[in-house]
Amino acid sequence: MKNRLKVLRAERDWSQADLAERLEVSRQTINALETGKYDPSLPLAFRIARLFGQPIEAIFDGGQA
Amino acid sequence: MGLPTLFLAATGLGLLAGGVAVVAAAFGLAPVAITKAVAVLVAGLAGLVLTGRWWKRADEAVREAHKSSWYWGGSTGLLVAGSIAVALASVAFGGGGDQFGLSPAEAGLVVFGVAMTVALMLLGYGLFWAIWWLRRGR
Repeated sequence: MKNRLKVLRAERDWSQADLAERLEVSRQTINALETGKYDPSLPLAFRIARLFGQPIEAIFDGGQA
Repeated sequence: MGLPTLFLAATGLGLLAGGVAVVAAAFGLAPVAITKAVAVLVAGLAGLVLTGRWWKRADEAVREAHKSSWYWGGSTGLLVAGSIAVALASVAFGGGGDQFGLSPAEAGLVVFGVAMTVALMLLGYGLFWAIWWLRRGR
């Protein structure tokens, strides 16, 4: 799934490790999310949305239903 | 408790269990085979409990990687073990293992070992699969 995680992180000048710490996940997880190789669970997606203050659909592109 | 600490604790408990087994066997409290089996069981259970704490703290991608590896890697391993067991079963029950340096009795023991391992793995899998659904079905 495509997402804007890398852009949002870069806007805040955070490293992957910074974001990982804020979300309480590993840096490898952040890397997998940013490259679209891993889709987050619903709770993690909500945590990401809350952290960036944006709705989930503004961060993740779920594609056509 | 970090992963290195968990590893050290599990190793320490394993050494302790091994030491107790050696002492128990030396004093003739139980046959060596029994004390060894109990030591492995105790150390293994302690390791399972300790690594269970790590598992509960592991983030979702880490867990997903392990689940996926267990499914694909474990299933592939079982498939290979099963095919070897089938080949050895034909030696055990039909003879003809001389070219491999195997007697039918030896082949039979290997087949029994593989069958026991696979059966216990499937039993454990089925049990925890059922518990998972029972906890979420109410």
